[in-house]
Amino acid sequence: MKNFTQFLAAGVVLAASAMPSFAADKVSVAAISGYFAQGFGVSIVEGLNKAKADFGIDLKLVDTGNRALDYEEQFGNLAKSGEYDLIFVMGWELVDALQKVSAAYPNQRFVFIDGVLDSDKIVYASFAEEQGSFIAGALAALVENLGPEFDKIGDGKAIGFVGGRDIPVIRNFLGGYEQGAKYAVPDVKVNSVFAGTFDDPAKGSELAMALYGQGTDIVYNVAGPTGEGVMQASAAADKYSLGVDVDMCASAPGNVLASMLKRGDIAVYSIIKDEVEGKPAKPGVRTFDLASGGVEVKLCEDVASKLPAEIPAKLEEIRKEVVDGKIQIVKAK
Amino acid sequence: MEVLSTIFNVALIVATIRTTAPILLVALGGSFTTKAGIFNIGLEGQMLIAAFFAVLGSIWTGSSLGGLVIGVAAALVFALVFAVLVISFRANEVVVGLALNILAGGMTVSLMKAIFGTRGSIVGRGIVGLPKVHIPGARDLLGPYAQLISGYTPLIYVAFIAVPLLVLIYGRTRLGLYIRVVGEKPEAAEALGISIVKVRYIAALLCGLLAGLAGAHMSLGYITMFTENMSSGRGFMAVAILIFSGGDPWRVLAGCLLFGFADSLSLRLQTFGFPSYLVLAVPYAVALTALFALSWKARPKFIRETIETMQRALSIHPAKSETPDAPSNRS
Repeated sequence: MKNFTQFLAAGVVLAASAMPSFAADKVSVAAISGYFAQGFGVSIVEGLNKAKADFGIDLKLVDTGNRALDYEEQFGNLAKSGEYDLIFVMGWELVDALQKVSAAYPNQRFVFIDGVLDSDKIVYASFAEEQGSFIAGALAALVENLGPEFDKIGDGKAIGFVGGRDIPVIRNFLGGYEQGAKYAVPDVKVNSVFAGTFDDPAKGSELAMALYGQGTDIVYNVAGPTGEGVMQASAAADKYSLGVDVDMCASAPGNVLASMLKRGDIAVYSIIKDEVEGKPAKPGVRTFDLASGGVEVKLCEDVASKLPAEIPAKLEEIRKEVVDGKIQIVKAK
Repeated sequence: MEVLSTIFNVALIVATIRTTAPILLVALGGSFTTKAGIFNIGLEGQMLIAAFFAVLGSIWTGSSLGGLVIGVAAALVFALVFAVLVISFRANEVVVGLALNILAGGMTVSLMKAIFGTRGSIVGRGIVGLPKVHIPGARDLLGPYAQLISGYTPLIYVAFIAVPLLVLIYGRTRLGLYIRVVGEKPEAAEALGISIVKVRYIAALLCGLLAGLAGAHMSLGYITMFTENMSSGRGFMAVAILIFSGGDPWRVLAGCLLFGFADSLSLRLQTFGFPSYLVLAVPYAVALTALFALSWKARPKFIRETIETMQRALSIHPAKSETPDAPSNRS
């Protein structure tokens, strides 16, 4: 008799636990990328795992590896079953496959992270890079304005920028950076250069060295691996650099002023949260900005502790003004 | 005037030396194969694979020297594969070179994924870079000009010392002589009983050695990291310089210095508002133009003969040195 009730109870529990999936209201998400172990990809995985812990979603991570030949097949495998509400995609090498598979499975919703493509069937998670760069520019200008009294700063009143290629995306960073610098310190000079490549750190280092040699004391890099050379050059020249996308303070401790972070974790978490709360993601661009915390400037502890207290205060003030719309930043086209 | 002094200064020369060194190292390596009569387009791949294994070796052994050795060893393996296929099996050297370049590109990406579980670049993770060499007394003797000769990573010195060394090898040693004979007159080498295969193997491996040093310099000296395709065409630039210089060490040096100078100069010009697309193309245009001019006299025989024939056919210079003079003397 006792056994029988246990059996019954077990059956009820089983049925209960199986209920949600039958009700089909459990959100199921897949994410595909080759970069989950690194930098920006790590923050995306963090966001996905947080969403899984908070909302109990089904999550499948697919690492593309470097099998470039079967990207499409990997996408197709995820899309054809139709079991995933959203498929997150990150990495420009996947763009071709994404667009083909998206056209082949029009009912599957894809979320492309950090970029906007031609297709109007895809959800784009984009970051207000010009806003984050605006704050980075303001910070650089304010620190440069301290002059020789501050460690490693000369009297050139010039800050620098090293871009990967001269393309609209990078111009958008530069535009925000320049506007922020001029807003904080109107007479600061901004020297901008481009490496012409994203994968030549030696060239990035050479460019930064040239800038430092011309009296520029703080250089912001938006150049992928090329920019890593900029960070290393700041240590070699004992000047300052600004990181981008992820926290780069460790690249050259003591020489990195701050990093302009793109919070991939906040982007994916917000999208999944809305999905769970019955506000499904719609095709089109969704921008994560300073207000939603999608971009932010994070100071590096070791340098920040030496900064005069009014600089972080002033930055926060500027940030609020951008969030409130009191400062309008022009986006580069 | 002030503008000029922010462009043309000691730092420009220092930057020229820094940008020249990796291309010089790999081009000098290629000089061996060029002189031995092998067209080695695989320099880029040897450099890249060495850059990757140097970083890997540096992490494994915890020392930059260990990294250097492992990086060079990897380049030597690539050089050996190239030699076996091209010299022993007489495969087409361009095809093999290109294939090895592609292999190096793909292999570094795959291995990075397999070992580090990531794509893109390897930074930090305990990579030990090569130390900077500070020549004692340089600062007291030269003051601000000390940076011209002191404070570089060791392989930069190796690159520049290798130039006269190669001149000596080609001019004064039996090996150098053999390499030149095998390259210029293989029939003569054969008649003399020199083993062409052996000499070409040695040349190919010496090339791998220097290309390996160039690669290790990229990832442990120039900067301390590895990223996909980080050799960024330096190996191909070396091939271009080799074609025009014929592998002569001094000419290789001249070509590399010219490229390095134009490159460093162009980086400085960007801050004066020149568009980056234009400025970034300058060093390549300058180096190629100059090398073309340099090699104009030594242009290949068939071009020389073609031009002469065409000139005769178009009678621009109708052989005037012989025909008009001869009769006038007699009469």
